[in-house]
Amino acid sequence: MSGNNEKPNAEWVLASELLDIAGRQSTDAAQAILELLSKHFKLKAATFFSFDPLGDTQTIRAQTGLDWDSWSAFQIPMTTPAGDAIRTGEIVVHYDIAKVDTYVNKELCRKHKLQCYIATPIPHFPLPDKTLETDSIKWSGAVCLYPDDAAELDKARDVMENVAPVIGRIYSLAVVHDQAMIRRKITEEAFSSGDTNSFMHKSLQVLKDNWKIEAGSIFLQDDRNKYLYMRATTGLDYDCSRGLRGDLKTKRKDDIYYRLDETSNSTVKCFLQREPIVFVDNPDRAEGKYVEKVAGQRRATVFVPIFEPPSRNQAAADPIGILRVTNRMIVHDGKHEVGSFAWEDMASINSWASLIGVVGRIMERSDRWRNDFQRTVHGAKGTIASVMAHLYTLHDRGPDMPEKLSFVVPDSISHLENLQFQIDRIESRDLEGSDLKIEPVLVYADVIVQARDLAEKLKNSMGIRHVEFTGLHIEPRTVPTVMASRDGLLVVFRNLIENSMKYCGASRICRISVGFTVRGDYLDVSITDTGIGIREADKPNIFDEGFRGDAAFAHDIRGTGYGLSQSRQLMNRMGGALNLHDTAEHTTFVVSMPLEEKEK
Amino acid sequence: MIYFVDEEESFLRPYAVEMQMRGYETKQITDADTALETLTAEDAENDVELILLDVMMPGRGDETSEFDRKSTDNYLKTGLVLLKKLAESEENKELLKKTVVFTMSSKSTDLFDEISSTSRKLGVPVLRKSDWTRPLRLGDELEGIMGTITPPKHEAPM
Repeated sequence: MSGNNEKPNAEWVLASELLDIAGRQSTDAAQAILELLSKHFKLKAATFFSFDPLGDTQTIRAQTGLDWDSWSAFQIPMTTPAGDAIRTGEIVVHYDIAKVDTYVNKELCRKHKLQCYIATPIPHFPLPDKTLETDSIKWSGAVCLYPDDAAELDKARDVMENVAPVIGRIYSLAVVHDQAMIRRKITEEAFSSGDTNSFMHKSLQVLKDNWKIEAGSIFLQDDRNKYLYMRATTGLDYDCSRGLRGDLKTKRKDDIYYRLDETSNSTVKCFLQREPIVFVDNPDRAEGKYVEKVAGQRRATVFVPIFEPPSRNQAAADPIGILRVTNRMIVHDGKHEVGSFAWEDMASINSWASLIGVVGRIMERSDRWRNDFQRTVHGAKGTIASVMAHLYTLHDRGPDMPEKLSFVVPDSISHLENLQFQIDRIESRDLEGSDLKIEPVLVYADVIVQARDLAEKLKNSMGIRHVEFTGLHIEPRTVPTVMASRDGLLVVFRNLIENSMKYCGASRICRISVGFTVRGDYLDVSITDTGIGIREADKPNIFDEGFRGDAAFAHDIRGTGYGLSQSRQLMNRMGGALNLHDTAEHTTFVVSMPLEEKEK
Repeated sequence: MIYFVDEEESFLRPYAVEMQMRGYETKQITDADTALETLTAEDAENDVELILLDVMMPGRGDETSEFDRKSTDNYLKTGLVLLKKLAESEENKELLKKTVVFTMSSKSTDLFDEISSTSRKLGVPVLRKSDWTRPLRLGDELEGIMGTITPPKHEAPM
């Protein structure tokens, strides 16, 4: 093309003008594509449809020349002429569309005197971020034009076939642009959010302000894995379970939840099936729970699972919650109209849900770290104040009554031992992020003896009268060598023994029995105590990070709920295990460690 | 009798010894339920000279406890709940006059603000443990406070 005075052909001009649209947001791009086509051809009207593989339907993305028809902005079956084009990949042409049976909206034809019709399928270009499998789609949608007459239709047919791939690429680029822009904004919000809830709230606001959803909510699973609690919403307005409207303002966020056994509910269903769900005219309304507040009657909702990032030795991630968005807003003739969702929306929402999941999890962890750190600092301040009070007493009163102050030195030492333990404990969290050095370890000599000595040191500051170990009068050499991290095991056994001491009950006498058993290729070390025990209801959750049973709270209000979760994680990383085997009278934790090769 | 209501027995020992050296009897109570029962017992009133009350503290830990996890905000505010319970009854007014909140809570935290405002409303002084690490000084302060407490008017003995 170039050099001579030859007139450039229509396809080339159109294609190069289409390229100018690249870089816009997707809904703007769809509208701009139609406006550009209207400039090149004499058209009465034009519509841009996107395919929704999940519902096997199509949705309007942009429109010119027609009154807004809210029916067609929601899910349209694939049996229409535009649907034919998307399904077959062939251009569909009709010289009198009003006579075509599958074109159902005859009223539209009459009103706008529509006659000629051409639907061009748009080839699909997979997105770089394949968070949702969109590769199986061949044709991502259709551009439908209503030319003024037959001659204009023929002209359009020649050109559209060749520019359709350009439209497909431009539109995919626009979707990638949407995704990148929202990702950037969500990431920015993560930096400016003080805690997980405020981050969740701001993320929804980003989707509302920048990607034009009408409403949305985030539900996250609770610690006990029984409920999905609402963590953020743009506004709820319907509690169908009680047939009340508009009373949710007075409801506390903690009171808005789904039970995981409410399986007929779309939110719960999506969470359990781990697959996105789209619903038009949300069936939640019929099934009796919460729906987001919207201005009009029409409602299309997408439910997408929020996954936690998969850990290193985990094949698939588990869902931790649900992102729910309702109604995509489309600008038509300068007005915002509501519409449904299609392939590109599903891909985008899915990719943001995983971003929100990852950031949310990091923030939750940092919330817990901060909490743990604050508690340690608080405890340390208490210890320092106590040691100072002891020393001041010795200083001020010692010369007069030395015999009354014999407690000062041993108590002070015990407080400082406890302080050292608390600092060691918070320092041991470093092990989470570092590689554990796996080496042969003599469990008895290197670990158990140290943990026992620690118990003796801590007992005064923990208000324990007596600590008694049984099962340790054995020949240390009879305990086989295991492969583990010595530091890791020390943390695990210290945590277990500290727990036995904390929860030894009102007698303040702590009896711990240690047992060694070889089981296959593993050495099991059991730590049994006769303390207050673990309530039945708490048993499934005791290894969850941050979980603290009511009894634990009542007996040790300063705990963090971190020790058992940390211990189990460490054991798993060392190729071992930590399990609870308890009976009515005893609580037994069993630490299993792989035997060294020569011991097998 | 000076009552120390605080779960950390060993922390308070120097203070208790200090008060004993000044001629007072001391008693330590380590959970809020026992404190409520002991202090409101019929014969307690004349016996109580001063109550040094911690805020973060457990309840008895069983079903009979009046201090559960929810009402005490995970036992962070047990002492405040105890104060409010005392304030509910007219009979305990004298007890409140003899109460001093003794807390580890740091200044400029929401918890400390709540402790200060609740205590102010009930006319109970607040002392921070980290400001009173010298038992000798605390002893002077507590004797000062006890000196300002008007003893309840008893009928003159026959």
